[in-house]
Amino acid sequence: MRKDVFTGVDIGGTNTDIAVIGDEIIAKKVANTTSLVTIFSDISSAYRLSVSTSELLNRFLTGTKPDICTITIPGPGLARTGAVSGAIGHRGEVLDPINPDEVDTYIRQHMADAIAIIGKFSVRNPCLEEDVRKIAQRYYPDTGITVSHTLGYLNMPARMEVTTINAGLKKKISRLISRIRTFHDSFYFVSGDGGLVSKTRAYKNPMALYHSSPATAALGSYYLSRQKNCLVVDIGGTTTDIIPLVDGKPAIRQLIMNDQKTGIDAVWCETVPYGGDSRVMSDLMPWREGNARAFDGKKPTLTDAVNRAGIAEIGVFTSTGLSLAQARRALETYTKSIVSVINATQPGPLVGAGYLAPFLLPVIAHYSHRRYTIPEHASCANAVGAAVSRISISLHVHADTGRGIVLYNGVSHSIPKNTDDETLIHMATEELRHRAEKEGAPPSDIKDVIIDRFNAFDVVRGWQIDARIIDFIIRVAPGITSEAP
Amino acid sequence: MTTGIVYHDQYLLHEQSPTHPERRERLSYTRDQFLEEGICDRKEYVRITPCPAPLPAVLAVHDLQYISFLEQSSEKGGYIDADTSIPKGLFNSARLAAGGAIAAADAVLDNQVKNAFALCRPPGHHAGKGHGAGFCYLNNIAIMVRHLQARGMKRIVILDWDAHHGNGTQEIFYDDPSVLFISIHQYPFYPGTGSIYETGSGTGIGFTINMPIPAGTSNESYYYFFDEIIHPIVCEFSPDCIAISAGQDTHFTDPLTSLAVTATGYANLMQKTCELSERLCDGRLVAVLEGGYSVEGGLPYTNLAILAAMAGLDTSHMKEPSIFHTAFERRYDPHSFENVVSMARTLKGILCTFWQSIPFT
Repeated sequence: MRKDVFTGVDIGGTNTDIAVIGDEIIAKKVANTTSLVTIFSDISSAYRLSVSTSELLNRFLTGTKPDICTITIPGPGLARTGAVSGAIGHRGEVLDPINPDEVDTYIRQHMADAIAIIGKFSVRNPCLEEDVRKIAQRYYPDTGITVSHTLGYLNMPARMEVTTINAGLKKKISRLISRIRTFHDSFYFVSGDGGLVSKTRAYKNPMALYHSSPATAALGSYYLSRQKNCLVVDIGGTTTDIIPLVDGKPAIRQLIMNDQKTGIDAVWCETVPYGGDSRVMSDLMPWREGNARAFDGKKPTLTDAVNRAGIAEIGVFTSTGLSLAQARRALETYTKSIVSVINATQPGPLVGAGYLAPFLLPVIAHYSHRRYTIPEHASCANAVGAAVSRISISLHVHADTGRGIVLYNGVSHSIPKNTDDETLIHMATEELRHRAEKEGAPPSDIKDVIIDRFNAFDVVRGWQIDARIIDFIIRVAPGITSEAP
Repeated sequence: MTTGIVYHDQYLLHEQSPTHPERRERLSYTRDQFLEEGICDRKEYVRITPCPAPLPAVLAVHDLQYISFLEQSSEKGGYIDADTSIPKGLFNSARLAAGGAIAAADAVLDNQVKNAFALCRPPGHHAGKGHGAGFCYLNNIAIMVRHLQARGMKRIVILDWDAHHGNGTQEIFYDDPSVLFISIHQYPFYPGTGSIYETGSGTGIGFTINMPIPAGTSNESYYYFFDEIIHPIVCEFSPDCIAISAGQDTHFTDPLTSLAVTATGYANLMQKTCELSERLCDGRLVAVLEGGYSVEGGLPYTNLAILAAMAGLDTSHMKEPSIFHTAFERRYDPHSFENVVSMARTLKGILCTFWQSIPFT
């Protein structure tokens, strides 16, 4: 694989953007009517490939959900749905085993499209989840079973939420991986925080890929414009994202879904429910009914309004199906909505991203009294961001020196019983770097690691210090790879 | 309305020695349990961050001379008794614990929450006006009660269910008819006080009620006391707020005591107390952590049970893992209930002279 050429693919709602970055940047937009097989077969397998699938997952999450059987092993504590007997203690000891007959009966009585298995404190000992998985394998294929213990940084309710969503996504992501692998054995997905994850990690936790569009827009716009402190205005098909950058980086916040923290980090942005495909009736509507008439659609959209107002000549621009008044009203509604969000956000110039940016951003900048830039290739900024992103990886570390174990993301390894904090941090750092290198991260991208949420305490038994419990998260943060041209 | 959880990471810093029973590990597993259960992410709970108790609030309870001693000893370290040393920086830790109780009370009075639990340490109920003792330095619940009264709450009930008698709290309010102090505790036991004949003094006579219980006592005796004595007398007293000295060392796994209460017992007791507060004082209830030394076996489950009951959640799964059942069998004395009923008969005979709700027998 050539390490000096980076390819990014962003699968959007209407189009798929492709960017190839080497000595120069080549970017193109392909309609989603073109099959993924065609798209990926056209990309050279000699280059590093990163794929952002945000829109696919968005559509899945907002569409009809598959039927998921959720089975929990909560042990003592708050009541949970789908509970079966069995309990893991605070130190990972098995307090109560599962009852295999009870689990088998429960699974048979609640057959669904997929099954999600979540145990309390399973991140300290996954054995009960694994016991339930073995029983579930009698009824489900591997793509239909998800467990929660690899999500070490999440608590039980968040693992329930994410594991249940993952159960519905696993088959879909598995199919996508197979299709891309036909042409590219090695490739990455972009996660919601903008970092790259391997296909194995994506398969285990597909939810991490959700909401990657603002991340790629942020990284791509910064890479193209080099504006460190600005507001990226990414005008997509369905929505417009306004993403603040400070020192070239977007803010990272935890995703909330169904009022439940997911523990999954994602780039923070303000999303306005209007984009190029938003339907125009008497006014602009916050929904999509298909392509713009400019692109063979049946109903007029914001893109058609841009054409009707004479701002652009996009696609079939002569048959918009809109009166001039309708078009102007839609454009005014759009501009006002975006300007009000911009004015409530941080100061600084605007950087445009997305196909409509050259036509809409000048007006937005005028009414928000800001300077603006639309860098070259801005229409494919998301694909550029995917291409130049770097591998990000994190480990939740839980060590119990009394038991002589350390768990990295819920998987146990032996350590000497007298391991001190400093040694453990060193071991975890090496483990993290080893995993990142194995996935293909260059040494210069994994030089700096971040440690947070460090917590440790002594275990006293019989008036003696018997052990030490240590928890922390160690990560290689997302960003632009140091190898990007 | 929601339940407030008062907590500060500095509550994990106070330590007399790394192996002392009242050490940071006491809250570590509770913190673990709460994190894994997602307690602080639930809409039923609000996390409240406390500030150190203001000195005037502390001096409303404790003597200036004692406070000066604590403050000075905190600079270099010192001793109160064999169980209670003064580590460096203690005064700040103790003020933050008392501040936690005040923050809980303020959140309730300000209608930010319906009720609140201050998960603070070091504990306080053995600290009297002019002394510390039994791991306690400042009497957190007493400082909080005086603060409540300063904010207009006239009559307060303190229910102290720690396994040890709340001698410090009793001393502070012994002659005060505005505070009804009720303690259920193992007896005879540390600190040696808390017999049924200690009932208050001066105008406060009748406003101190002690329910000493023998080793091996379990849930049914606590329910009996609640229904037969606590409920009628608290109704007759008609408080503006109920405060609980929530010591979880009555649990059957506690290494320092010999009682046999279960997590279910704690959940039920708190449910009963919440119902009482709803009936009498618009649900105003503040719990303040006292003792509890079964760091891994008891505290995570009992503290969770209490919080779940305060928020009105389903408590049917609030029980210990089944591997602890032999520990319960060893600790539980099936004859304890008869002894408690017999003692309660004598106690009622004393209380009926002060309280019309307790019939003369």
